[in-house]
Parts: sequence; C-alpha cells; structure tokens
Amino acid sequence: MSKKLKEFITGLQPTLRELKFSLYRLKRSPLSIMGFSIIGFFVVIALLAPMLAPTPLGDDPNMMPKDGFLQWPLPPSNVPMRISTYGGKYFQQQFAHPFGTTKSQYDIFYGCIWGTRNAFRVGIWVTFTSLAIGLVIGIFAGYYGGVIDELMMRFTDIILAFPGLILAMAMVAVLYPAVSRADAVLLALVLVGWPGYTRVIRGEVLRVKTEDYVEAAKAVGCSDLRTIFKHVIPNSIYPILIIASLDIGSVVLTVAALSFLNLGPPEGFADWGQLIAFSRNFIIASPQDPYKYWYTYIIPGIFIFTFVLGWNLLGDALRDILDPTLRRK
Amino acid sequence: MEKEIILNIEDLTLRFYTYEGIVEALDGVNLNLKDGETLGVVGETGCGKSVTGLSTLVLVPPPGKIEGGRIFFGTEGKSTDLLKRDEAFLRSIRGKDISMIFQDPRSALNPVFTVENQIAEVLMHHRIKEFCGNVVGRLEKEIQNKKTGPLKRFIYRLEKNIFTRMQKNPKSYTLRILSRIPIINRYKRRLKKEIREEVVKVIRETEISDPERVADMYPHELSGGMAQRVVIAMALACNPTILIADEPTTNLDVTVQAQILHLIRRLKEKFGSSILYITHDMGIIAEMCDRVAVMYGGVVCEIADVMEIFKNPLHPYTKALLESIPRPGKELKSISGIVPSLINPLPGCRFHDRCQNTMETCTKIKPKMIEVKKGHFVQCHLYAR
Amino acid sequence: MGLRTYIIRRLLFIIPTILGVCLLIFAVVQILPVERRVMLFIEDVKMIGAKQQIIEIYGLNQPAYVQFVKWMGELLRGNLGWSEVANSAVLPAILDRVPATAEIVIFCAPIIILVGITLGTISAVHRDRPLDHATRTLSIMGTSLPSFWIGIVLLAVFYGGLGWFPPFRFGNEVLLYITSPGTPWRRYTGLMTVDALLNGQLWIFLDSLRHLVLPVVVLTLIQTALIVRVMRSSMLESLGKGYITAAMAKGLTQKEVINKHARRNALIPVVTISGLLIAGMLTGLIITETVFDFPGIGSFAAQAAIRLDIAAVLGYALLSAIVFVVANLIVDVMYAYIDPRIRLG
Repeated sequence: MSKKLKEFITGLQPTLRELKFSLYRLKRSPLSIMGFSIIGFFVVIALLAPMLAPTPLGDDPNMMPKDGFLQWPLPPSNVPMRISTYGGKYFQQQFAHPFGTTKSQYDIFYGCIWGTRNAFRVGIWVTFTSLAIGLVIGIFAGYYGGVIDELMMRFTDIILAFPGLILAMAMVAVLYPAVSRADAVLLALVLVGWPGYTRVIRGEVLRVKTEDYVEAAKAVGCSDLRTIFKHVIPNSIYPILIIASLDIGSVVLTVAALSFLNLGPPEGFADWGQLIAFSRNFIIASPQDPYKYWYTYIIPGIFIFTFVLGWNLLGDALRDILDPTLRRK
Repeated sequence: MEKEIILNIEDLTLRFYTYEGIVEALDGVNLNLKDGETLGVVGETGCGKSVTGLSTLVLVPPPGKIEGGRIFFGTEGKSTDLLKRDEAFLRSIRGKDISMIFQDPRSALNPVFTVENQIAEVLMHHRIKEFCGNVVGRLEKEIQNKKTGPLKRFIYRLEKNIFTRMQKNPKSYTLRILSRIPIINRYKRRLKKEIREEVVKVIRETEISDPERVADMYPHELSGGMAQRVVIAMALACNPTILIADEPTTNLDVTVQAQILHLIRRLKEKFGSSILYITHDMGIIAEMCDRVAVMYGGVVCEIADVMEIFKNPLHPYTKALLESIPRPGKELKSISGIVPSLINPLPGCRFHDRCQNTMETCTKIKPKMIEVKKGHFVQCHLYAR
Repeated sequence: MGLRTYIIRRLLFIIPTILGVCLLIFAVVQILPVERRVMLFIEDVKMIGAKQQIIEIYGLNQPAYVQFVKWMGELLRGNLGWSEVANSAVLPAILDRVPATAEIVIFCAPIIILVGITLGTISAVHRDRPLDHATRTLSIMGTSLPSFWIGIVLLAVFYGGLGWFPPFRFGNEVLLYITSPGTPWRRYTGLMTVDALLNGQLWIFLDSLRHLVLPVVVLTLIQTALIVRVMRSSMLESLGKGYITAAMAKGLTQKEVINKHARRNALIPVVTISGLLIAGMLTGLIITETVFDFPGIGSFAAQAAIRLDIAAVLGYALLSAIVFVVANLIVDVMYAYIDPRIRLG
C-alpha cells in the first residue's frame, strides 16, 4: 500500500514542482498581485455586505432602500437615514448616506455594496455554467469526432454568428413575460457564452488526442472516460482557466450594459449598471456647478471598472505565467 | 604553403543574463579559420558551439552579451575587430562576407514570403548596384539599337536615368517616392526580372532540379532537404568569404544528409569559401573538415588537423568523445556524468569532474591553450610543461 | 489551392450558416404566442387591424415547417415585420438609420486599425521599457472600462462641463435648416459630414464633426485597447522566431526586419481577431448610440428591446448576424491572403 502511495507521490512531483513555480511567478508578478488584491477586496465587501450596509427589516436585501420621495439626488453626507425611524422599517443604529443618493433617493452606498454580491453571483454563475456546458459538448465533439462533431460545430457557428449582446437582447425581449428580465439576461448570456468554451475545449481535445501519450494510454487499455479525465483535461485546463477569468470580467460588463439599457433587473435592484442608468438625467446639472451630481455616476462606475480590472489583471497574469513558451523567459 | 588566417577569435567571453542566473556560455574561446579550409567545431549540446557561430556575426540575441575578447575578420593583410565596429559595418558584412546556414531550415525561412522573395532580399541588400548596372547596360543597348522607335527610346532613357540614380544611391528619397506612384513604378519590373534571373541561377547551383518552380513556392511547400538547399542558396547568393554552417543536416533524413554534405563540399570548391562547420557528429567531421576544434562547457579544449585528432587525441574529453562513437560489435561507451550547468561553473578546468586524469591544479586553475605539436593545440594541465 | 478557390469555397460555406441563423431566430420566435408572432409579417399600417386574417394567410396556426417556409419567403421579399417603435416596417426603419451609424464607423475603423497596430508593434519592440508598460496599462484599463460609463463621464466633462461636444447628431440650428420647407439642403449620401461638404455648408460640416467626436472616441478607445493587446503579444511571438535571426544574418537593418518580416506574421492573429472587433463594434454601437442619443441603428435596437418590439429586435439580430458572417468571410479571405499556409486547405 505504501509503495503505491510512494509511486503516486513521485509521479506527482513534476506537477508539484511546476505548481510551485507557477505560484512563485504569481507572487512575483505585480499584475497578479494587483489582480488578486482587487478581487480579494471585493470578496471581503461582498461577504461583509450585511454589516456594511444593513437591510431595513422586512425588506429584500437585494433591493436598495429608498430614503424619501425627492426626485433628485442628494450628495454624500452624514445625515442619518430617515427610514431608520420611519414607521415599520428601522435599524438598530443610525446609518447615513456615505455615497449620497441617486434618483428617487436610492442609497448609492447600499447599491454599490450589494451590487458587489450581485456581480460575483452573476459573473461566476454565468461563467461556470457556460464553462460546464461548453466542456461537456466540447469534449464529446472533440473526442468522438465524426457526425456529432460536425453537428455541434455547425450549431456553435450559428450561435457565434450573433454578437453577444444582441442575442441577449433578443432573448430578453422574447422571453419577457414568462421569464423575469434578470433571469432572461442570465440565460441569454449562458447561451451566448458556451460556444466560446466549446470551441477552445474541442481544439484542445483534438490537439491532445493526437499526442502520443493518449495513443499509449489507449494501447494500455484505458477506457475512453479515463483517458479523457486523466490525459486530456489536465492538458487543456490552462487556456480554459485564462479564458474563464477574463470572461467573468466581460460577463459583468455585459450585464451592467444590459442593466444600463433597462433590460435587466427591475427598478430598485442593487445593480451597478442600474445605478448608472439612474444617473443619466443628472449628468448635466447647472452651468454654475456642472459636476454637482458626480457621485451618482462616478462612484458606481469606479466599482464596475475596478472589479473588471481585477479579473482582467488576473487573467493576463495567468496567461503570462501559464503559457509554456513564455514561462522561463 | 601556409594558408592565411581570415578569422581569428581570441578570448571570446559571452554571458547570458537570465531569470535563473548568469550563464557563462563562453569562457575565453580561441580558434581561427584559415582561408579555404573547413574548420569543424564539435561538441555536445550546450557546449557553446552555436553561440560561437552567432557571435561571429555579432548576432547574439538578448539576454546574451558579449563581454570580452576579439573577433578578427580580415582578408589580404588588413583585418578588423568585429566587436569594435558599428552596426552599419556589421550589416554590410552579414550575408555578404560572412553568412550563415541554420539548423532548422523551415524555421529560418519566413512562412509568408516566397522563396524568391527571401533570396532576392539578400541580393537586393548587397548587390543592388550591380543589378542596376546590368539594367542600365541593357537599356543602353536598347537605346543604341536602330530598330527601337522614338517613343520607346524616350521611355528607356527615362528608365536609364532612374537606374543610374539608383546605382549611385539606392536609398534616395526621390526613389522611394517614385516607387510608390502606381504607373511610374513599373520601372521596378526590369529590376525584378534581373534579380529573378539571378535567384533562379543561385537556386540551380544548389542542385534543385526545377528552380523556376521552386522560386515561386512557399517554405511550407518544400521538403526538408529542399528547404535546406534554399537556405544554402540564400547564404551563398553573395559569394561570401566565410560560411558558418550551424548543424545544417541535423534535422534531415539520413539520405538527404549525405546529399547536402556533398552539395556543401562541391559548392565550397566551386566558390572558394571557408567554412566553419558546427556539429555534434564526429562522422561528419571526418567527412567534411580539414581541421577540428573540440568544445566543451564554453571553452575550446583542442584544435588540430582532422587526421591528427583521430589518430592522436590529446585532451581527455576528445579521447572520451572518440571512444564513445558507436562501433558495431563493440560495447557502447559513454562519458560518465552530465553536461554541466553553466550558471555557476566549476572553477578551474570545466571538464575536471568528468575527467579520468584530474589533478589538483585542474580544480583550481583554468588551463591555457598550448601548442603541443605543430598545428595541434590543447587546453589541458596534462600537457602544461 | 489558390486564393480564388478558397474564396469560392468560403462563399459556399456561408449559405448553410445563414440558413442556420434564420433557423435559430425562427426557433426563438416560436416561443412566442401566435398573436405576437403576427408582427413579423405585417408590412403596412393598414395590416395592423387585420391580424386574424394574417394568421390565416401565413399559416401561423399550422405546423412549424410550413411556417418556416412562409417566413423565409417573406424574408427574401424583404419583409422583416412591423416595428411599433418606429411605426413603420422594420427593414426601411433600419436602413433609414444606417447612414448615421455608418458615419461613426467610418471614422472609427481607420483609427482603430492604425493606432492599434502601431502601438502594438512599438510596445512589443520596446518590451519592458516605460513605453511598453504605459501602453499595457492603458490597454488593460481600456478593456475593463464599461463603454457606457466612459461615455457618461465624457459627456459630463466635455458637454456638461465644457460644452464642447454635444450629444445627438446635430444641433438645433442645423435641424431647423435641414427640415425647413424651402431649404436648399439636398441629401446625397445620408452622411452628415459628406453631405455638408457637398452642399457647401461648412458650418454644418463642423457641427456634425463636433457631434461625432464623443461617440467616435468612446467606440475607438475600447476596440483599440483590444487590438493593441493582441498585436503586442503576437508581435512578441513573431520576434522570437528563427526567421528573424536568419533575416538579421542576411544583413538587414532592425527596422527592415521588424517592418517586413515580423509584422506580416504578427498581423495574422490580429486579422483573425478583427472578427471579434466587428462584433465588439456592433454591440458597442448599441450602447454608445444610446448614451449619446445618436439616431443610428444601435439606439434603435436598444429602444426596441426595451419596448419589447420583437419584430425590430429580431430583425436587427438577423441583420447583424448576416453582417457579422459576411465580415468574417472577408476576414478569412484576408487571412488567407496574408498566410499562404491557409490556402492549401
């Protein structure tokens, strides 16, 4: 028993060594450090959301609290929120509007903080689901080839013929009454997303399939599934990781764009894109003080930008590190 | 009759500044090449033979830096240290006086350009004046010819004007502007024709049977042997004094190898070039070379005539190398140990950890190159007396 | 194989793809109840009242394949349905707005290509030096910026704050001038800049340029960032190849080697990514036009989506898909032109 364990560990040595090297490069690369820190920062915010921006009792935490009925935004201030004492809805402590309020008195701070949760949820869910679907279909198409492959590839070609946002818009418009807009957006993005992964995975499977060690594995009698798991997947994983991390950023951007176009969650939902949509009327204030309502668009925008930047940096760093030809420069 | 030395590398030191440390790739390399001879440079992978070749052209890619030594290149009494010359001079030498054949012909050729394009590139760069002269000559004949009509004569005169200008100053501004204007730049066709003729001629020299067709092909359409012939054609297009051949047959099939070796030998005789032949194969050395330099770990251990080296190897490494050549019937011998990492090289002689005859001095002091017999140099403490 | 054969093969290949696209849209349409599907067949105001008859005529109650054939027939006639948002048939509504969008694209495209390729090359050649770091930082930031946000910020600063570059397509005076009854304005191409010059009205030309600045800037910013990144990485790869050393060994200058040898090979991935670029433009247009209230096909699509005008949205989707497929064809042909290895199948 211990002999087999020893063999296993020795077999793992090169992988471990490479992993250590990757981590080393990761730690040294300023890009990846920045990327990680940014994402870590947002993770903390998302986890601490209920403490940072508590929900008035009885409300849906994803909806931003409305503090009053004024139509125009109020600047950031320490004036405590009125709803903390407004009939029925109350907090245990007084909370103010550190980021100000936007149209209809939605609290920007709350929107940004809970928007982080939404961003993670949406980004990870869509990417993960697209990846999963793409993985399955890609592996099948690549490994078994033939008619299945052709059909799958035609199908992905057709979906890829549509620029992403446009197909998403069409799906939302069509599905509307039956499916809520927010859900329709998610479904549409998954539909648009999986072909990309399929293409890449299939390419990798095809490439690895012709490598000698797969032939060797088959000659030794490995079953198909085992060959796939043991040989094909580990070798195809790197490009997938890179694409996935870049994808989370782009998904969040697309979702924000759709929310901005009012094709997303219902009004009042804590979503960065929505916050910016709210600010549209207040970009141009009076000539004396044109940037009066800067906080309505600058602050949510910074959140989106930094979030996506973090994932892009990470993806870039991963690409630099995992690319075997550039590894040892 | 003593042949003249045309290339003299003295004490060449080269370092690579990499991520994992400073690689001492060459540590005081000494060798010379005589006019008309083929000098073989032999050694295992990683001994620095390829870099030596590249250094001769002063083309070491970063993170490599040449840190010391002299490379004297000279013909007819005046020689110059290449390491001290400026880039413009070096460029005039590369491809014309010293040219190189690469190990992997397919990666040495740019996949998006035709064969003709790539050979023409060398010709255009170095021999443009000569071609302009040819065109001028032809145009002159056409002008003198009684049969050409006055309009044609006028056009020819204009073209002759352009080409005479080009001859004097190939890179002039006016020419560059002219060559961009659609109808006027038809004059280029004449030049192209001239050059294409020469290209086909050069390709034919390399024993390719259908040079016209090959000239229009792309590198990926060529077989390995043909691609290498094309690379050879490129290198010989301007009739260089020195040809550096960096393992030109390593990536080819055995049968093709023999053909290419034969070709190189023939071309050398025809054009009178000297060859610096880099290889790891002692068999090729025996076939092709007049003298041999044995390299190990970034230094040259031994230089001698081919016959002398095979009959009377002095350096322990050379001896081990010769013994390890596979012979039918005999047991396969190898040299114990592995090729050293050159990042923190051993002090003293680079070979001392694998040598059978290591002495105390070998671990501390680097041996100097000594002429043990006439024309036979060794760098080893065993012979230091 | 030769370039010509390759082109013909690719052309033939397009047909099944376009058919597939139509199939997909059709499948999406089938989700809707019959009453809403009717909008796809209406061409004229007068037909709105006759919905029941239309359902009969076009067989919307019959099995799917019959409907599909009828629908394809309508498509080939150019009938994409009726748009409630535009209050006209879909195809004319879209075509009407094409010149506005085209104007933006015409200004964007050359800038993106030239600046992208040049910056990418310089960045690769001067690897790891200050210029490279600056370019890389800017291009990463460029791909992380939400286009609608940068549009809004720019609007706030350059319009709200400075008043230089207004949104929409033309100012009030221009609008009055063009639409007043006895106006000498003749519409030649539909492009404001060109038409203004052709009409000899320099002030209109300047005015339309003013209105174009912000949308063009926003759209180019993000696409250029992408091209710079791809060009840089492919140039780096190209510079590491053997033929570069071989070319230097022939005696060429560094400049010649970069411009002739390295660049041609480096352009290959860039060309392939142009397809992505076009998709990016099509989507970017929707957002940019909405932010700046620019009356092009992008903002039309956005409004249609919000108001659930399915005929318009689906019509737009279909047209963009076709444009995209054709664009990819052109890209593939260019790719084959640059890289002879592709032509051999």
